[in-house]
Amino acid sequence: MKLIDLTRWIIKRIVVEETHGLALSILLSAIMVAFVPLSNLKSIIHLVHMYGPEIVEYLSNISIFTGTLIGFLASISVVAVLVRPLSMDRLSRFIEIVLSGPFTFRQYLVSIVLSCVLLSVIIDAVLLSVYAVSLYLEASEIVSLMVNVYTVITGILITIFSSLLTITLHLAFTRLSYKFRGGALSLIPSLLLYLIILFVFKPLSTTTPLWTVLYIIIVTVSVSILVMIISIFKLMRPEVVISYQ
Amino acid sequence: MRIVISDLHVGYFNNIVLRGVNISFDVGMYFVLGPNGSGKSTLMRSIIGILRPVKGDVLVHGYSVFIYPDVKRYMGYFPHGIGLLPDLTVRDNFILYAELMGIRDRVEIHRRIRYVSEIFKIENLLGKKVSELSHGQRVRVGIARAFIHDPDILVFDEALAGLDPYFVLEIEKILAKESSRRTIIISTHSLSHVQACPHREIVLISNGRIVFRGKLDELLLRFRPRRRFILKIEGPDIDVARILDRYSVRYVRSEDGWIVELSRSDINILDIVRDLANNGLLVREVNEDQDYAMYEILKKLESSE
Repeated sequence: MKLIDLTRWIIKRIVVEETHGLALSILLSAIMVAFVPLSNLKSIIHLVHMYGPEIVEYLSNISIFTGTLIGFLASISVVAVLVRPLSMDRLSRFIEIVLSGPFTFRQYLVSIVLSCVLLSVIIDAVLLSVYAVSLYLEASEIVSLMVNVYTVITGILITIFSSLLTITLHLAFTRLSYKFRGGALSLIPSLLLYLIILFVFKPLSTTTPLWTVLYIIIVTVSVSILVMIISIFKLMRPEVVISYQ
Repeated sequence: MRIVISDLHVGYFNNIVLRGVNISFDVGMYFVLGPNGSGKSTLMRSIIGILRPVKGDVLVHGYSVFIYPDVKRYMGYFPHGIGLLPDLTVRDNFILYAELMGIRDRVEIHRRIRYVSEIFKIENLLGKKVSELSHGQRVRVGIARAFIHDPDILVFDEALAGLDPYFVLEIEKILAKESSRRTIIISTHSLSHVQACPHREIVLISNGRIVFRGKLDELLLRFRPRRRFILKIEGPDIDVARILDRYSVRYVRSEDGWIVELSRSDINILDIVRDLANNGLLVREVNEDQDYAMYEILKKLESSE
């Protein structure tokens, strides 16, 4: 079975199995994206009116932190729809059926990663569109300030890596004990990433957006890759995946 | 040979479970028999290519199942625990499995679903969620699913566990018919599952090694387990006991009937039944406790090791 076929099968399977969960999680994230940033919009417009256009330099990182927030929300949706089937696979032993298909275990892992990336891009695109439209309806002149290429890059990066990190850690937790079912625990890594980024870099600063994005990439990628490398050697083995206790 | 297993060593977390398994399977029905923890499921998982060996190989149609995973298209699998998605309908489970095995054509998938549903008499279950089905129905669905892509080889891991004898017989009849052109391997820990198909080949596995391969008669002849029967007899208990005392048997009266254990292999249960009948006692049923025979075989194996 080709990698693309298997990825398509995994996505289709998630859509069939998690239709309601997927729709509900995207809807909730979209509502949050539409209302939470907009609640701060009035104060931003007020700042621009008070201090003039030069304040824009101080606000330049807002777009990146908006991307981080959207990426974080999207990762919750990705994890919600991916982790549950993966847990159910192990509990119901469906994982053995999946692995009895015409592909190798490595191809299966790569397909999970590809599915995660695809879902991340799709859900991010949905949330960013909702955000851009909401902004446009509220104050069209500020859209370019709040949404730009940095917002998109940061959003997608945060979603992909925090989702992968969460899924990997979920596997580690469930390996330690079957009582861990992802859920709230699976949100911890993406939440941590989000908080690190938010607290180390302040949204209102003179740092250039490029440096902020680079910083986010370094933090997200290094943390995720480190955890995944350890996991790949210690956990990503068929006997770990098929065992559920 | 459709499946050739050579010098197979497989383990979990550095604990070797299969220790040098050499065996081959051709068209027909085979029972892999062994107690819990003997390595049956590990062998099944290795045949289907889920668990990679530390050493050795599994060749299916001449190709290594680990190097050429495409050969798994010719194989159907029933895992220990059935492996159905509980929140989906039976039909959706079938569709997902067919697509996983590479069938793209929707018309073909639905044709196959109709075909297996007829064979296993599950037409009325197709629209139901798996979570609404009984254990017996789930097993039936799980076995039917393994046939969806018309495979040459079927691997059933403990598919018959926890089912009533009538149901086991019914499933075994269907599988026996299908085995005329397929290789069907069923793992079980119960000798009673083999009873319905005594002419089928048995592979006995113990401590990760194949210790016997042959027919049921040969197995019983080689290990000469003490045999235990449950007899349902109508008549006064005192008369039954008097006749049983004539033979070298141990017996006890239980709620299920008379449990009679033959102490020597040369005693024939039919002689005892005949004697009971000649003395005016009506013997309604004679059933052998196959699990006891299995237990006896394993005990002998352990003592010989």
